[in-house]
Amino acid sequence: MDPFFPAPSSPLFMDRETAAALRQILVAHCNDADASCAALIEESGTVCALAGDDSLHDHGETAALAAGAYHAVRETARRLGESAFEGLSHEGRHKHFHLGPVDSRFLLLTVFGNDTRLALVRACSTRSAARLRDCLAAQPPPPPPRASPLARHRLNAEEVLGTTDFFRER
Amino acid sequence: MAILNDESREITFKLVYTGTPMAGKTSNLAWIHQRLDNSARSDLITLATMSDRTLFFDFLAVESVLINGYRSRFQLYTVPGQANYNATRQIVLRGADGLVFVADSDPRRAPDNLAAWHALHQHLAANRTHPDSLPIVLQYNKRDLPNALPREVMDQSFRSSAPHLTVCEASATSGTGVFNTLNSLARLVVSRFHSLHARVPASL
Repeated sequence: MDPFFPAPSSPLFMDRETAAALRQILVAHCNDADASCAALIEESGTVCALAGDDSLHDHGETAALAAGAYHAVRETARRLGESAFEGLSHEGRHKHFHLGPVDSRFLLLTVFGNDTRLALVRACSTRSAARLRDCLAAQPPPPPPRASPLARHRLNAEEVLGTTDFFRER
Repeated sequence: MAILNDESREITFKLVYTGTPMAGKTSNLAWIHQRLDNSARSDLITLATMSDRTLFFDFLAVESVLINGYRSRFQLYTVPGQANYNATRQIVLRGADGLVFVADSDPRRAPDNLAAWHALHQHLAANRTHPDSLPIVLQYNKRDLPNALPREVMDQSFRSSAPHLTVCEASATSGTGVFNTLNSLARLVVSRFHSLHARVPASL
């Protein structure tokens, strides 16, 4: 399978235990890498787990931009004939970040300051990505249809199939 | 694809506005951003050229109703319409839970509409997504043009090959039909998610 274009991903059901375990890995990652914060980002730009300070207070927008930038640079590398892509980094004046792959679907974003070396962040990111991969792989399989969390409550039909609007203009 | 987080009680969907170049994709998001309460939306992120053409994507996260205790979030993206941005368009389309195809009602843009429609199908195929497996809403935009193509003519262009598609008419710059389009797609996406993963009868 082409690693750049894996098969379409299925919905992700993240249970409480997995979410807590992922966050613990990110907390440890921040400590090990001397980073201010870290986030596990799904390829569509959704933050799945977050740890550290409030550098990513607008994490929805930041994650979307980060995922877009990552995929754009990786695709650029592919078109230049380079199949290996280990991630991307940005060095600013005060804040820096590193964005690396966890697997074909997830990214690890690490934000760090002037006192932290990029080499350390890269090394820790590789190790933490492996932990995150293991944690995601160990997650229980998706629930069978009738055991889906939404099925436990049953959706309000009016919300789903009727005329109730999901969004209303002010 | 959708992400359901049991801990944060949140379910997130990705919706992408694609379509004909200059047909009004960014105008749709700008109107939604302008007309939703601040508490229900993020900032509108726009990656555009100096001439305001979308370079990579626009992004807006919006929150909606609680679905059985789960906060629903929709991440809205646009893609650049121009043909030379095929690669970036394909990247943004990956993982989409639903699409709005924005078509231009200007008769002079009819060939561009069809070219964009065919390009979309190529992108979906490259992403290994069958168009019938994805909720798609067709938006006929710029209906306020005095010489707008009759709806039947636009239907012939698009729906002859896909008669099941939902169609919404709009004038995005004045906001007409923008929320109707978004709500139509949100209903389709949530219904599909539910039918695939909860199997609740549609007759509920």
